[in-house]
Amino acid sequence: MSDLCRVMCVEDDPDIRMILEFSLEQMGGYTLASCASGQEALDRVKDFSPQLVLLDVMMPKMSGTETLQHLRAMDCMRSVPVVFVTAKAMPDEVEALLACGANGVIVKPFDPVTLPHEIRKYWTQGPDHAD
Amino acid sequence: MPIESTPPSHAHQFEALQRKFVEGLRRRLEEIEAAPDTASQHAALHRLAGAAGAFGYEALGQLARTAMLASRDTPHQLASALAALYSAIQALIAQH
Repeated sequence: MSDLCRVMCVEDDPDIRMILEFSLEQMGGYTLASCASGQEALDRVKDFSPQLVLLDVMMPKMSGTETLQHLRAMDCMRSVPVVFVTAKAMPDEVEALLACGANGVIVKPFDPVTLPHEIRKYWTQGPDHAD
Repeated sequence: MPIESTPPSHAHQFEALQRKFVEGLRRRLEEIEAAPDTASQHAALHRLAGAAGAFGYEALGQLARTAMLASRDTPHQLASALAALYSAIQALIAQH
């Protein structure tokens, strides 16, 4: 069984990317690919081969849900866990995001101290994890 | 105002990130004030609401969320919500 190492985050807000890098790289010890747009994520995903993707919802040009559709169309990303990170936290909004094919929803603001542990539970649903 | 559970080994690093966030608040304020339409203003408030709490500024995030919801659902309350948000941002900038 491999361990969770490579995490990709897709977030247009530079401050949130900064705190994600602090949380996941500095505190969590993960190797992070930090992407500022859905297009950048699509461009980097084959080389980076993420084991888990954290995806913002409201982004200009390509939204999180559109990015997820493109990711799921790639053979290498069909079963990799994708988790939305969003301030859209109403139950119907969360339900709609899960219906898009996401594995989970983390609500902003997230706690940078507990986030590295929190994402691990979604990774256990992915193909890299086999008991 | 560090998040209480930040380990001591990372506390200085987190405080440096907080300072960078506060330095960027003036730009966020200008973005909200100069938004050309309701959708742009809603998006700017949404980003601030999502970011502030992660840096330990939960009250500021809540004010941004209140203004964001007002911009969509209760426009008659937007002016007072924005005034409260601007006041909180100015106070935070003044502290740093």
